[in-house]
Amino acid sequence: MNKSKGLALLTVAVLTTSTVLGAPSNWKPSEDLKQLLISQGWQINNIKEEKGFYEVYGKDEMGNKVEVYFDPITLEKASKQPSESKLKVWGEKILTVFNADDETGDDNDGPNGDGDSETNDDNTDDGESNDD
Amino acid sequence: MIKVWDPFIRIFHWSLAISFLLEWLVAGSFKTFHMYLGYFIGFLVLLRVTWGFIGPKYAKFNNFIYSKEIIINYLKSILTGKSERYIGHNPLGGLNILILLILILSTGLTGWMQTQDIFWGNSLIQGLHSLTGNSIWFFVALHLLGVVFSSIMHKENLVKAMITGKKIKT
Repeated sequence: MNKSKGLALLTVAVLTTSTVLGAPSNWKPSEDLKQLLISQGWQINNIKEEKGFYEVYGKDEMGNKVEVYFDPITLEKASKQPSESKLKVWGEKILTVFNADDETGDDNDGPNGDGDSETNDDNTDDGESNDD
Repeated sequence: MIKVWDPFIRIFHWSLAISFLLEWLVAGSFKTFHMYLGYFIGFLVLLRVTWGFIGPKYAKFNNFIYSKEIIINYLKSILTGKSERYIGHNPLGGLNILILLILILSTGLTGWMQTQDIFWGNSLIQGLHSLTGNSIWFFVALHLLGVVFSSIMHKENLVKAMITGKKIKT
């Protein structure tokens, strides 16, 4: 009995925390984004909160599986992929150190912290898979 | 000198080590590359598992899968500083290899599952993939600690043995 009570309390605590911390008040609800995308012919599998964005998994109007980030305030497609690999994060840090002469050190904590223009990953690393 | 690690084992070992490091580094950004490298890793491990049944003596599972009693006794012998030298994997090292192979294969499975329509964006599968994927590092660390410890304990270079394939016969 005590165990289940504790579990219930924990659940409440977790839910409360995730409500308070998970979705800042200026964010539009994910349900709005879902309805918007469905109205555009999308099929939605999952919408997650990821590094200050809504990360949408689903199928677009063409039926292609997609994983797209949306700005939670404007509900527009994010220009840059916020979810980054160690290779990219560390690589950028190393480059920052090398370029330290030209730039004043800025910490890029936020997903939009740096304004570097980057090419799409999925296209650049496919170079080796040539079929013929 | 005795030939212990056959060419397949050695190529497999170093390909897997490099591939896993790279796979972990690119996770999160280079998704297509991550997927294909993941398939390559899964393929490598499946070959290794096959080799564990049909390969030469020291590659075989029955050479390095020991009973619970032997593993516990070996662990005790390490703590007292009198661990026996094994030509192949020692009982604890062998157990670690088995855990690594299982973890890598299960991570590969949950990785592949995420490419399927029904699991596309599935948080549970993603969580499992990260959990098993990251926990591989824990067992890699144990593996490396074991290599260093055994090398010192028995005054032999086990890293070199995994390159040349040869160990001193005693």
